[in-house]
Amino acid sequence: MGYDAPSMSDPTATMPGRRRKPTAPHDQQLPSGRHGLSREFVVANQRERILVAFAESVAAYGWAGSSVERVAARAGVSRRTFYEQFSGKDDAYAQLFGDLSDALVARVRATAAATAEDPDWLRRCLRTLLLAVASAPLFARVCVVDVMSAGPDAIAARDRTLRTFAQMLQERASVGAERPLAPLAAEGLVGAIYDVIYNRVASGQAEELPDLLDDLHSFCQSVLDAPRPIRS
Amino acid sequence: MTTITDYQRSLDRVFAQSRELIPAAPTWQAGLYHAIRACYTEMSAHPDALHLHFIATSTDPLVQRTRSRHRARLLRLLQTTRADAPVPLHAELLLNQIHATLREQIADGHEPPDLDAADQTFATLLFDYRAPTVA
Repeated sequence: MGYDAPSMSDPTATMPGRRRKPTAPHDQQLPSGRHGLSREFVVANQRERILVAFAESVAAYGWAGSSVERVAARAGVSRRTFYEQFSGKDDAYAQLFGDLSDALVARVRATAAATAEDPDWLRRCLRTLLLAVASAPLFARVCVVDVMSAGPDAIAARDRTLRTFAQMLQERASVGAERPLAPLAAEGLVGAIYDVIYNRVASGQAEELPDLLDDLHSFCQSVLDAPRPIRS
Repeated sequence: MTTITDYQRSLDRVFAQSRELIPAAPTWQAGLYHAIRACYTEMSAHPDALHLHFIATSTDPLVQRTRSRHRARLLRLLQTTRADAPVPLHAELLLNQIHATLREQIADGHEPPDLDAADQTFATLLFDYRAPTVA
C-alpha cells in the first residue's frame, strides 16, 4: 500500500487502537487537489478510512454516539462521500464486520489447510485465532462486543460466522476419527471459545488471549478425545 | 415479562443454592452438576428468565453482562471451595460449553428441553471432561 492505512482485509496487520489515540485526526487522508492517484485507489482509500474511523468511533463513543457526521469527520471525508460508499451506519458496520470476519475465517482456514497432515492442527488453529484477535483489539471489540448494539442483521452475521467456525471444526475434527464430531458438539465448543474471547475483549484483556493457548488447547483436545454421545 | 431485576433474582437463588451444593458434593464435578441442575430447574420454572439466560444473552448487552457476572461468581465459588477444582480456564470453558450446547438445543427446538433431557446434555459434557494428564 502506498499509505499507512490499517488494512481492513487483514485484521492482524495493524493495531489502530495502539497506533492512534481515538481523538487523533485521521492521518491517512490523501492530499487534496491534483495528486495523480487513480479514482479506484481514492475510493478504496476513502472506504478504508471510513471503516477504520467507524471502528474507532464506536470504540470511543459507542454505537449510538457514532453518527455519520462524526465518522465522516474522523475519516476526513464529507457526508456525501460517506453516503457514496455506504447507505448508512448499518451498512458501514455490515461491511466492516464482513471484511474482518472474512479475513479471520480465511486465516484460520489457511492454518487448517496447512496442517492437514499435522497432529498438532488444533493447537495451531487456536493459536492463529488467538493471535489474530489479540493483535487487533479495537477491531475485536467492535466485532465481538459492539455487534450486540448494531442490530439484528449484525447479530445474524455474527451467528453465521460462528456457524462457519463450527462447521470448519466439525469437518476437520472428523477427519480420520472413528466417529464424526456431531454438529451440536462443534457448536458447543465454538460457543465456549467465543464466550472466553468475548469476556477478555469486553474487559480490555484481548491482548492476553495468546496466554490462554495451552489451557484452551488441552480443554478442546479433551473434548475431541472424549466419547461422542452429544448429537444434534 | 421478566425484567432484568427478576432475572437477577433468579440467578441469586441459583447462587444461594450453589453455595451449599458445591462445597458439600463429593467431587467438583458433582458439585457443578448439582449447581447446573439447580440453575436449569430455576430457569424452567421461569420461562421468561430462561429466555433471557439462553437466548437474549447473545443479543442484549445488559443480559449478557448480568449472566457474565453470575458465571464469574460461580467460578470463583468453585475455585475457592474445592481443592479438586480444575484449572480456572477449563472450568470456565466447561460452563460455556454447557451453556452454548443447551442454547443451541433451545434455539433449535420449539420448546426448551425438559429437565431430564437437559440433564442428559450437561451431565454428559460435565462427566466426560477429563483433566489433562501432567507429563
